[in-house]
Amino acid sequence: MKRFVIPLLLMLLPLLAVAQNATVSGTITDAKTGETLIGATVVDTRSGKGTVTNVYGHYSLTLRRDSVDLKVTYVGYEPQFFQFRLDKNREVNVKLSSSVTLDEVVITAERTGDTRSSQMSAVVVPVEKLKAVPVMFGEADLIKALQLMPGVQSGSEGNSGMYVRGGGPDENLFLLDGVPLYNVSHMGGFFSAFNTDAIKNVTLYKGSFPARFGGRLSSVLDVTQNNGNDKEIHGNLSIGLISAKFNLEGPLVKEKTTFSLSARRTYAELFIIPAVMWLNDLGEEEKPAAPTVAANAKFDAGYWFYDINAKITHKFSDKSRLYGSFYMGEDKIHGNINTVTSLEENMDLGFANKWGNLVGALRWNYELTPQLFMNLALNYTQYKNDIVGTVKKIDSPGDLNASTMEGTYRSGIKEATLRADFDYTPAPEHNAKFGASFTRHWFTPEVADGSINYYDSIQMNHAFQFDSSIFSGVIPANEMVAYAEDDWAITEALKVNYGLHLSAFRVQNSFYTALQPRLSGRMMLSDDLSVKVGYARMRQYVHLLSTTSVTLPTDLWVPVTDRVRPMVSDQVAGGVSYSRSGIADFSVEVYYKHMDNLIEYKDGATFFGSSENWENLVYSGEGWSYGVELLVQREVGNLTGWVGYTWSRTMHLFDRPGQVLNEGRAFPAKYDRRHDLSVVLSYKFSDRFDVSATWVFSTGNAASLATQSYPVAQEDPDDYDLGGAGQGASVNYIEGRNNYRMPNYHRLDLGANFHRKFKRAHRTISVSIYNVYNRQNPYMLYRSRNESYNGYPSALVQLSLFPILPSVGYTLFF
Amino acid sequence: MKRIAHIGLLAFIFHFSFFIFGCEKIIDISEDPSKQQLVLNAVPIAGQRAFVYFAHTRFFLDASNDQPFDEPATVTLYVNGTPYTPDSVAYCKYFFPYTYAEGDSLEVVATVGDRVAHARTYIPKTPVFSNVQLVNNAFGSTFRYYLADFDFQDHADEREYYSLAVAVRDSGVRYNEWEQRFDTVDTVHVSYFMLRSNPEITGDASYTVPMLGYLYTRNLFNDGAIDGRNYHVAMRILNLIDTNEVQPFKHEYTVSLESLTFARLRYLIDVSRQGGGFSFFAEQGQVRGNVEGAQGIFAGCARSKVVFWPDTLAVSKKALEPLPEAVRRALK
Repeated sequence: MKRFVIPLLLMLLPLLAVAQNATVSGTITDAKTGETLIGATVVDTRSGKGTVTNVYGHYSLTLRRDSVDLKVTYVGYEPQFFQFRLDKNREVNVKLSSSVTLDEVVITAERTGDTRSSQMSAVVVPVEKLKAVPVMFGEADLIKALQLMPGVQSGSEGNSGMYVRGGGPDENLFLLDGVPLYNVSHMGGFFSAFNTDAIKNVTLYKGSFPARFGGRLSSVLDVTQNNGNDKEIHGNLSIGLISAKFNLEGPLVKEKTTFSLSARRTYAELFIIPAVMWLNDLGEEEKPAAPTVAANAKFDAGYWFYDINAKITHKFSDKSRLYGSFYMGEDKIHGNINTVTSLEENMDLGFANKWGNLVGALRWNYELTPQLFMNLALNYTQYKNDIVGTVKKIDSPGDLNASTMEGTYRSGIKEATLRADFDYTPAPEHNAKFGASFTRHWFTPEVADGSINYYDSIQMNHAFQFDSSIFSGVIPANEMVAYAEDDWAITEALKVNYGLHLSAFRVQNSFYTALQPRLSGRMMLSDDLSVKVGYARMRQYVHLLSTTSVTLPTDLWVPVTDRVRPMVSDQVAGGVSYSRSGIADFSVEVYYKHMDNLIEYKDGATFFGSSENWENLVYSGEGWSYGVELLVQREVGNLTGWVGYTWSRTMHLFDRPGQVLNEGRAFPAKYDRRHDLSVVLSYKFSDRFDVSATWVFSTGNAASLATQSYPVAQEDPDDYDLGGAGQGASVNYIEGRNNYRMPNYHRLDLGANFHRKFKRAHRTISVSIYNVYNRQNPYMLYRSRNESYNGYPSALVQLSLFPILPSVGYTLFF
Repeated sequence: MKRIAHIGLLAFIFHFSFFIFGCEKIIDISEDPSKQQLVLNAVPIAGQRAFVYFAHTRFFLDASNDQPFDEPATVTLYVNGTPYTPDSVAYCKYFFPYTYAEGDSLEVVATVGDRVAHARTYIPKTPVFSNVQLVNNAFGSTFRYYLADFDFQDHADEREYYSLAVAVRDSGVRYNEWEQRFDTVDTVHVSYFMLRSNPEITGDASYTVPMLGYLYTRNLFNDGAIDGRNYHVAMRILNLIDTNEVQPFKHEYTVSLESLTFARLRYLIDVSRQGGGFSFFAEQGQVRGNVEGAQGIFAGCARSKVVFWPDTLAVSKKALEPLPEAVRRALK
């Protein structure tokens, strides 16, 4: 314990150097809605000292007792100026008004990811911008918009999985109002769980993680939900091609208590039902006199998902606020086939898979002193996946020979967290954060139960029941975290953010602790040019066991064990950031990340359908990733957007004794991509019409492909084979893991928005075309024996998912 | 209501017809002769005539089994130091005038042009069945259960590897109305019961392989937990296809216990992982052989087997006798 406490205290020493200062503090809000503004800048132009608002819109700026010229700015808002003599602590709450013309706004201070911030490898995506990106099925998607940023890759076509700087999809921490979401996919990954109408701020950290974050190796996505308008009720209603959603927000008690409620629901089953009816009718019409199986098969199928975001905010005073956040999302896919196998036999097969998240958070902010801001939080999150299968067989009209088989497969994770965070600004040069949390996890990796009930030939009933929870029930775990960080302006040009993240994790007989140092700094070379460097060590105590490369609800979250140790990463990054006011921001970053204790399935292994313990199916190894990321971004004017390019390389090495993959040679990770380019442009012709376009290009995914084959060794040249894999069976010769590159991926999407104002409302019609030139991008490859190629009796076939796909959406704002 | 259904149907057809534009396409991929590898395969079994398969790999889209060399190849088999040359060659199989015996020390050298393949192996001791019991319909249900149990003596001298397999060959056929074709065999479940009945000897792998005309399930294990013991094995065989009593089936069951060399064990595990039931989701890996300069395997084994025909077995009275411990475990 001593080795943790002493470094923490040493780190906080500079904060004790408090001179005769006074503090300006307060909250910055939108003048029209009362919504708190995250990342707004507050600068004393006289001294050059400044700060930004935290996720609660609160700021605290400690200055010398002197005259102050305070300037408050936020992108898209008119700046405000305050002049006063600072003799004592002072509260200045600011209400900013939206700017009519964005290009008049001059960004003078720092924002996370900006030139002047000590933070690097961070991306802030304005929610309005991501809504402007052309979309699939008329549904704006946060994760897909982030996948267009350098350093962030999508998995496969249409997938919501994120691969950040060579990390896997399980290495991302998704926070919704500070609470982790374990599965962010709807519809098998084609949509993410974030309803863009319910969120107001999104920050993605790809590296140089501040010490307050931990628990994942590769990224942190910090999403904040809307608090709600505190003056009047507003909302919007949207209808897309397969889903509809609404958002309603307003005051419960004017300027005291607000609410925000958003809900989204698909109605794809409305399309599916008539199709099913049509297919069933087709079967009826073609029914022959003597019934056959095919003619008498009736099937039913459906799919839906919904999510609900809700938030209530109560302001006790300017210094004290209470937030209650809630999120619930669920998907369900189900099917049923009824077949009549003879005049008396009836077979009913049913299947249903339901999965979803439930998140709740209660947070209380209190400004203890002008320098010390406190947030206490009680969080709960759960993810669960249930699969139910039934087989019912009725052999005769009297059901005497009826037999039923029912099985349920459940997996999931729950966790409850108690957390305290503090912001402390003791001196003009220091802006510190510290805190601690305790989390109780309950892992349910796999539980299956069910029953078999049947009658035998003498009408004797046989019933069996099984319940694997007796052997593999809930696995509890405890996680403790403490952190401290300080943003220290050493000189006007040099600023560092240094911190420590301490974590401890206990599960079953294992107890792991980790000291994770963090450091980032920037040096201003001129007013608009800075150089940044950063280092972060991260540790992760949970693994995701994935059946396929696609994010599916069947993926299992499992804790570390004695044998499968926590994953660790060390990442260094450096970069140059240049901001040309009113024109564009430019940044170049290079990074190198080493990852240890990564897990991969053994060759040929998968947990799906396996009775083996998952620990026996995986190997541990290491990996590394390095690359260069370029970003040119323009946020002002009629033409906005960005161009992002990444050159990267990601390799894995599994050569530990007894855990060898690829003969102990390093191999490219599945999402190792040499080139990744995104061009995102929006042009606003007028208040009534704007267009957008996205073009993406990336090197094809790596895959293991056998290019040669040979017969299995036969034991007996004449008799049938009791060994090997059978007569005529082949062994695939694979040169190496992920030895083959799938074809390159590229795609153009176009979108247009038509806006119209009414007396009390306005509406937007959004038209978009996904994959305009109908590129057949690879989703997966397989060998087909039904096709021939170049005289060979089989062919390598590429499966593509989405061809050209137009969609339209309608949104009414009121 | 019907109109609404038709509108929905039109919307469905309109929207999803876009998927017709392109879902699948054939990838241009050409054969690279430099990727071609030599293949040497042989599984020397005690009591069996010696043969070695020697050829080269084929392009993976090619379906032909045998890939003979364009130029002459030579294969020499050394048995306990004595060289043998083939007396016949057919379909890349080189047959030798020798019958393998337990304890043979074997070496093979195969050359074609300037390429050489070389491997060594031995034939392990033959495991011996004793006290074999076969019980027909042992558990009484609409499904057919058979119980096969027997003893075998593990040797205490060194680590040994075993394969225990049950193969089922079907003598009849039936017409599958659903898929409009003739089926020969459906499925037989042994692996699950093996795990429950004999926990000490199931450790390395188990898998089931369907093939034309027959099907087998195999359990691979080592003697780590039973070293030197006389071990009693109980196998509970469940055959689901007998539930259809409309047409009688005549099956031939073969229970086979093999002693394996380590190379053979590893090869079987790797092959099963490439072709396992859920391999669609799994990462395909290399099959590790033991031949220098070539793909494939040259690994000996020794086999004992017993064949039975359930339809000719009367219900055994032995089931009424006190059952051995392993059998009682199987019954639970």
